[in-house]
Amino acid sequence: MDILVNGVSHTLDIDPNKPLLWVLREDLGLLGTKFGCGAGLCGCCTVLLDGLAIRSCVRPVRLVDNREVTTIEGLTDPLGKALKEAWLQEHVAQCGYCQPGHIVAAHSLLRREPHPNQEQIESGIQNLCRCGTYQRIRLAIVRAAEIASPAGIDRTKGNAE
Amino acid sequence: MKRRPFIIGSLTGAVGLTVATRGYHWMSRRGPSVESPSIWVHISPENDITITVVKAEMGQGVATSLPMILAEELEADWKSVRIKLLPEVDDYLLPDARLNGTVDSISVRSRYRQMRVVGAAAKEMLVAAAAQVWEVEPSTLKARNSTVSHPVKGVLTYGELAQLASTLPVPSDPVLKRPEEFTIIGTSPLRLDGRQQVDGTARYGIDSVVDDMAYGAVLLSPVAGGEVANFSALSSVGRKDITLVQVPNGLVAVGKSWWDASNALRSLDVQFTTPPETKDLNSASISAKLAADLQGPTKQVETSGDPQSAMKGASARRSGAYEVPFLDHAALEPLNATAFVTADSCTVWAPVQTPVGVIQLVESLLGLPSSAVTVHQTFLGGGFGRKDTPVDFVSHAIIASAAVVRPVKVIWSREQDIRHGAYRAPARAEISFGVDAGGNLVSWIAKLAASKVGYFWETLSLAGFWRLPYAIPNRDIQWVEFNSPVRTGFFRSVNQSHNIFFVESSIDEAAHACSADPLAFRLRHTQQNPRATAVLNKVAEMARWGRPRIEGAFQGVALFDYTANDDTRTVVAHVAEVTVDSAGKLKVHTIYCAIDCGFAVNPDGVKAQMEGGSIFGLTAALLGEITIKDGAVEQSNFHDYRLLGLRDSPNVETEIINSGSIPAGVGEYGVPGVMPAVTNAIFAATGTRIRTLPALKQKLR
Repeated sequence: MDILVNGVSHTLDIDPNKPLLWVLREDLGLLGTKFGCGAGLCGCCTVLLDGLAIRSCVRPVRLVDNREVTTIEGLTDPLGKALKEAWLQEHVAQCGYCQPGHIVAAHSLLRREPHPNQEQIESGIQNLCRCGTYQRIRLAIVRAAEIASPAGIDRTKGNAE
Repeated sequence: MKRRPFIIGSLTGAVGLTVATRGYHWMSRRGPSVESPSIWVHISPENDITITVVKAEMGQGVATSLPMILAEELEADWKSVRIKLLPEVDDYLLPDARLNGTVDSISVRSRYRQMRVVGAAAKEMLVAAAAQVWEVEPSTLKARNSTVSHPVKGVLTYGELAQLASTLPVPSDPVLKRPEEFTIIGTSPLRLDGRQQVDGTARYGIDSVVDDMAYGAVLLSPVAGGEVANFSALSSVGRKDITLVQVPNGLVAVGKSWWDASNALRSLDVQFTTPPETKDLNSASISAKLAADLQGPTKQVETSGDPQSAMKGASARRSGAYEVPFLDHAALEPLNATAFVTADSCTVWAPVQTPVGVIQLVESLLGLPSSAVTVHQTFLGGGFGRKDTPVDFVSHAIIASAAVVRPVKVIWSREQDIRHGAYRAPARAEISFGVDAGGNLVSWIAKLAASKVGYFWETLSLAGFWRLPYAIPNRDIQWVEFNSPVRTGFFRSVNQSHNIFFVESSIDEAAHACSADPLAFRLRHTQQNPRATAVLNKVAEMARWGRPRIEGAFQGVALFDYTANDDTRTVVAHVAEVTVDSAGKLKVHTIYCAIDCGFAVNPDGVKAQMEGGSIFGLTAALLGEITIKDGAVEQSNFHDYRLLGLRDSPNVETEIINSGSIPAGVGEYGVPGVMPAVTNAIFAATGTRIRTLPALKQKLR
């Protein structure tokens, strides 16, 4: 089957029921996407599928055939760069294990909602962090939103303020 | 894509190995450590400086804070500092075994002086090298930003001097900087591993990749102590591309993919033996054992005055029994290890807090001498104490690799990880106190049933339960060791994770018993303890004690300070601000935290630990509970072992008080105090006293 990851097409001879997470990690060597629970509960395995965040540990690879998968390694668009920079500047990561999943989930959120309010952040980010970095994640999302689409040129809200 | 031929033997025999379940010790293979800069610092000709980090980086920031200390004295250009993770073995071990391992919040406090001395020695050697090159007195030279300069001769980089410097004698007593000269220590630079953490390139144990590696999935007996009863029957019906390997209490399926190996395990009908002593275990029977232990003989560990008479003379008396359950660490990186065993060597890649324990494990499993063992230190995706107990997950990789004669990466599923923890043990306390008409605590009689932790048990097991920071003239403190029938181990903040809840809840009860303000009551009893007074006053100011910012909110306070006479201790005060609505639904709005850890090497790192530690503690206080039914752990994943998420995690506002110049521990100390702070706030809001955790299992109104 064919799979498109980070802009590169791969033809793989694999069980179509194998979860995308394990295809990324074992077959493609993309280790930035993490295994946390295997049940779609923690979000460590979050990747983008056609730009929207999904839990790759519960997504059989056959369901992403010929759709565009983006992992933390491929998050190099301006928004992705803004998120990584904001994460760094806010000193978000402690152990860092869950952070690729958080960053990918935040990318999906900011694509839909360039300047989310706290409620939108809280409903948009359902990932777990055992180190408890949530307050800095909130700050980093706001900072990334500022970097990626500064207030004033917000394409969804017009040139307010 | 990478493809490798996958060939695996059809080994089916049981691999019978006995593994000690606890009690390895931390000893050097080669004797006392050598403080030679050569094992700590590498300077490239391009003037890049690589500093060795031997404490496990598991989120607490040691891979930044330890290099900061060394770089400060080295006069290194911080922008050119890199890190290299090495296991804490051999020359890197300290003579005092209690200071080895990444445990007990010891990393910075145990290595602070050593890192400074090493950095200063290396700087003096570089200066001496420049003095030789220029034929001038070293005193005429100045080291700064990875260079040595002379007013006339010019500038040489450390990179240009390193080779010569490394041949010069190591100064035994280098001159250290004065704290007011610090330019790196006391600042909050970006983490040295920060970029890797956000771009997905940081490599944790689970990311280890070894040529020709196979994957192992694990199934362990649901009931503690059970063994696979039908292993030979299983191996005869297995698939050709899957090898089953028996390990203590279970088996590992080895295959070409972890997912494949997990599926193979699921398809098997594995029968386990059920040890008679554990099959009837349940949470209620364990709780009953705790209560019975407290009624039996206990050991007096602290006494003062005449607590019984003082109790009789008190104007108000109360007694309370407190209890907490098993807790699982639930680090988001599941337990895993990669091993490659050959006839005469063993190499392990693993996210462990104490790599020297892995060496001892290999020695006991394979009989190999320690010189044949190599451990690669990786980043840890959380540890919290669980990854200090490698006897199970690391042995699985070792045993599996020995069986299939190739490298094997074993990964536990989340279900195995939660069901087979080295849990924080349950504990119970009964505390009676008496207060006089003036609102003074005059009598304190307290008994604890708790697990005994480590060989320096008194400090860790009783921490927070004895040597209280409060002035109480008449005291009787007793304890009895609780032998848990389910395996237990180290947990972030160890027994302080319950002792502070027991004591600070009782102190709060004492304040209410004499209608005193809980903060004023604590201040009244800590007058001889200026550091405790200072953090209490600071947190009260931050929280606007008594005047919550949220309408209808209530506040609770708690103090953490377990060794009131030790100069290198850490003191923390928490205030929780909560509302409880008419239906009894709790919301924790903000946590305020003031910490005095002596001296903060990396202030933002200290704040981050207080933030994260407070959420870790809040999760335990509100949600955390592992329960046992018919000998088995009932929880299995994050739907039934819940963690606080973003929505329910309050902001933690932290301020630091530097009371001296010696840093103490930090990583664990945000955890304990937040639990009683929030239950004390619940009491203020509702009049409901939470004496057992987790709080959200109970009706708050």
